[in-house]
Amino acid sequence: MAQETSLISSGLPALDQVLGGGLHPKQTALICGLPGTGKTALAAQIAFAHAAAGRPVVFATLGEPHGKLIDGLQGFSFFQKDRMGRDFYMVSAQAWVKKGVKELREVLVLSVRERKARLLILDGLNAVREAWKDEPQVRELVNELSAGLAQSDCAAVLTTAEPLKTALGHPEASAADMVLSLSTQVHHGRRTRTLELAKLTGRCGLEGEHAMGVDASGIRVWPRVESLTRPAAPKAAEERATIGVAELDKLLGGGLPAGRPAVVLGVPGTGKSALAAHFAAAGPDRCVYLALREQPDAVRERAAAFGFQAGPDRLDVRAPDSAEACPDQLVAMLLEALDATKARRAVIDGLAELDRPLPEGRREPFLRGLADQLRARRVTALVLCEGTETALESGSAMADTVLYMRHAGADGRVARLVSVLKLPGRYEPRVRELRIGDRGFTVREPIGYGGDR
Amino acid sequence: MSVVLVADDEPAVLDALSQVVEDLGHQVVRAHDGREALQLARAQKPHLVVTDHMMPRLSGLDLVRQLREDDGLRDVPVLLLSAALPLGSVSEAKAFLPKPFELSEFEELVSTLLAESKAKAPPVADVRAEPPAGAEDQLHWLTRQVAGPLAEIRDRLGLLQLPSSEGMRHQVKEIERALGEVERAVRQVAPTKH
Repeated sequence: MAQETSLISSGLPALDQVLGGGLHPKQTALICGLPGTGKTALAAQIAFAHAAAGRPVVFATLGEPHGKLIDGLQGFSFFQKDRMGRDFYMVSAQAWVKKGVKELREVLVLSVRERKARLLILDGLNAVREAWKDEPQVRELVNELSAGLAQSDCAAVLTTAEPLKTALGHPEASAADMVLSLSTQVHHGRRTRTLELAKLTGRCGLEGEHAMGVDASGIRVWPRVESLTRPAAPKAAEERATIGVAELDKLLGGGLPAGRPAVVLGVPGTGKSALAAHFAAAGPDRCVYLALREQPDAVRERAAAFGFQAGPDRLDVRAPDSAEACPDQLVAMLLEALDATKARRAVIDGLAELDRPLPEGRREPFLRGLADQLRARRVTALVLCEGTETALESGSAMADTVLYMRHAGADGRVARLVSVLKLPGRYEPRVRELRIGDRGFTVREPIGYGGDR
Repeated sequence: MSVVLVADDEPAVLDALSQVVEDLGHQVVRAHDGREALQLARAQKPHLVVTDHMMPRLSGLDLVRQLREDDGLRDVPVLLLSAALPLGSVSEAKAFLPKPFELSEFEELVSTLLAESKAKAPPVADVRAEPPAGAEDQLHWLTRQVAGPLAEIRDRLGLLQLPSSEGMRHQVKEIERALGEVERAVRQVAPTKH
């Protein structure tokens, strides 16, 4: 059984998660996708990770010139030139494609044996199909190659420049123990990449589509947050966590329910960011602040202006490099920071920037998945949500505690009001007025405001 | 005119390098992998071997090492080409050229190595010379005469695009089968001493 065999890391921890732990040391994986989707880069990244783990690799190409391939890979940090020609051994099998099935299979298996390889990459299987135009021959190659490699304790990763639907009809997909499909889509001018686990035998992985990206480190994968294993969340405790303003803690019945997310709802200018600064910097321990609307410096400056310590050991502000970062990438950034720092507080600023690119049907499962992950880590999180009560539906998917901040006319001026809309447990169902001064918030009873609650 | 053995697993690179050497006025013997290169070197006794490092069935580096262990080929200069090995890491080869390189650099190196080789060593046996007198030597001479053309046919077959028609594919297979039989026969009658 596959579970009894130690899996080999793909070199990408998130991909290992998708693959149910990593790659099987004797099985065959197929990576399919149209040209430019990242198949060769992913295969090379897996190959270098194997080589680095003491498992030599034969990287066989079927068309792309080696010089061009090396040029394309050199920009990635996973590329290790000193391994080439030693435990990362690149060969061209193009000449043997013209000779036939037996010859191609023999040269590949022989190369694996000679180099004592534990992984064979066969890049561009579609070139074989195009050359032979004979499906039974391709089937014979795949079957005989699998058998030959199994005898040599060698795994294989095949790539083919075909979309998933086409690839699934071919014998290599039947023979493969794992099928990954890479694709790209353009939406409103923004190109997004997707990795799909379409087949996995012998163990459970995260099937379906996951976000993928390419940066200087190579291929990045961000699993769908709702597909991640749902960890057992600790029971809802009576424990409360301070929101950073004593009078608001009283309104909340002692503070925010600890170890779970809470949503702060309000239109711009109602004081959400100021409240987040209090929560983040006035708490008893470190807070990871995911800044999606402002630059990190602005967040730190606001906290410092209120007189809070805003050093990274207290206020750990994270922001994506690009405004085009996808939702699962942002969630991964937050969860990685929480895991790395063991912080028990988080701010997500703001919810709309996080979930806007999601298709309508995914928004609710995504938010519930994120909330599950936060609860499992016992993180008290403040999620800033721009909008009025009509945006409550979105926030409610994520949290059972909602604070509502709004403006109201009061005694000839505009006042900022706050109330608790919902909270599991006791709280004061009252409206309070917030005033923001040089030293932060002061909270008082509202005076004759023209509000409705 | 010198005989230059060129070995590279990438057909396009093999073609390009071979063309350059031919344009310099030399005869080229082509090999697609290290093992084929070793066989052709033993059969053809080239004046120079130009080889890639990363190839199937024997790397360029292993090819150089095997040539150095062969009494008849020990002194044949080798120009090793590689995108992988670091400069100066290969002491066994006469010269090393890291890929990618300028063709003019390659031409110059090939000419220099051939000139040095001819100045230093007596010319290798002329395979076109008259047959020797003794029976064993005659057999030796004959097998060497045959080995070159056979290797060339094998080389050309390797480059042949597989025809799409069933009949022609059958013909190619038949030629390969017949070639294999002749090669086996030559090996069987070849004297063990070279």
